Amino acid sequence: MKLKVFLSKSPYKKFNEILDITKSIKLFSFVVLLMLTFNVWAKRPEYVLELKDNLFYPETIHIPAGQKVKLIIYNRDDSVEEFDSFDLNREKVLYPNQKAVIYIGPLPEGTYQFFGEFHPYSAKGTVIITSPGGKNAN
Amino acid sequence: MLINSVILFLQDALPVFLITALLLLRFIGLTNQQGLTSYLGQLRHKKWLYQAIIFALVMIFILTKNMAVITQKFSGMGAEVIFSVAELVVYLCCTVIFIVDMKNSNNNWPNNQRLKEKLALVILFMVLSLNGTHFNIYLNGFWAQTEQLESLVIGMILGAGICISIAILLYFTLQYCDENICVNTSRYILLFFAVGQLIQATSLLEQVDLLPNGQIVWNSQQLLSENSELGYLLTALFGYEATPSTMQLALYSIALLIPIIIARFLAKKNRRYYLRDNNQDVLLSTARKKGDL
Repeated sequence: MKLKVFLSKSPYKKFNEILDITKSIKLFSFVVLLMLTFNVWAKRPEYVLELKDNLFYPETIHIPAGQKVKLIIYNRDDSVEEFDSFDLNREKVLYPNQKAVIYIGPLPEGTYQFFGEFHPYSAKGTVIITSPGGKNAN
Repeated sequence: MLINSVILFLQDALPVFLITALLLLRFIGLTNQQGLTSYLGQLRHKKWLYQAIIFALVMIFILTKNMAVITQKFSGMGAEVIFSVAELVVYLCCTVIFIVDMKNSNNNWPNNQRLKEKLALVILFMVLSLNGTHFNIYLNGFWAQTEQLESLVIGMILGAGICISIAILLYFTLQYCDENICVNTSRYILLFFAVGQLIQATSLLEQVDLLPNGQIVWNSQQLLSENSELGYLLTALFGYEATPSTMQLALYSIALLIPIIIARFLAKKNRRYYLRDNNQDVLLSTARKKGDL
């Protein structure tokens, strides 16, 4: 209601008349909801990673190129850790004795580093993106 | 441990200091020859600043206590959903400030001071809460390790010093640019900061598969790492990504262009109303001929 009153004032009035903000917001919400629904429904291949004694197991994961996969990370330690990867553009806090889920890919072939932000010298690993049919860590 | 603390402080606290500097630029008037006492005097009256800090401290406490539970909500997507919504709110609030705060427009442009103050409060509250919660989680993790306490404290002091220095430098550089180069420099930097927040929100949504991310367009990690000091600054200020996806690039352009187009459209409209209301027909027709309106 306040938004409508605000937009009815000059100089916003004309702008509101042309674009019809309320209709645009409804349409935008619908499109976003549709996009979210499609993504949530999609089934992804799953890979498991474990953190124990500030070390990641397995240290290397092989994932097929051009595919989005689900990475389930279990933190078996009693301390908090953060999964971090600048190469993969991912960052996720791992709470003690809990599991966390992130999705990675689709990525081109190559080697991508990840590490635990709170223990960067011990907790580290690599994701190797291979051509389809390559070696699978699981 | 010492380096870790400094880096984490830079990562989490730098955006808070930067946005504080950018918001203060929108409220402290542009006058030459201001002394430190004058600045501090003006700061005293910024109620929104203190309110945002107090509310955010409470929120940091609540979020830190409940973050482990929140993370497990929405099938393990709780943290990403909450953080991305907050970052979207920051983007929208910054965009509104960008649009309504036109200093080079005509005299009849609404002042919008109260609206700007409310938005600034929301922005600072959100940014401080999000970054503060992350840093607090890290602190809690290491607080128990008493042997690391000294490094932790020194790291925090060093990190705070670096952040404050960068924020002050940014403030005075932008103030100089506003006064001498382009009056809207700091306004545009605020918009870049907002788009950066939106890009971080999309990263989080892509991470939990709520948004399709497409292919990585380029990898400039070797050229300029996000993990470097300059990388932290550019990430906080402009939303720099070393490995951006097609979705992020498209969104960056749209999120940057739309507010600029809206602001220009409103500025033109406002200038037309102003000239018409003041019976400046000659100026109006000249402006039309020039294509300004």
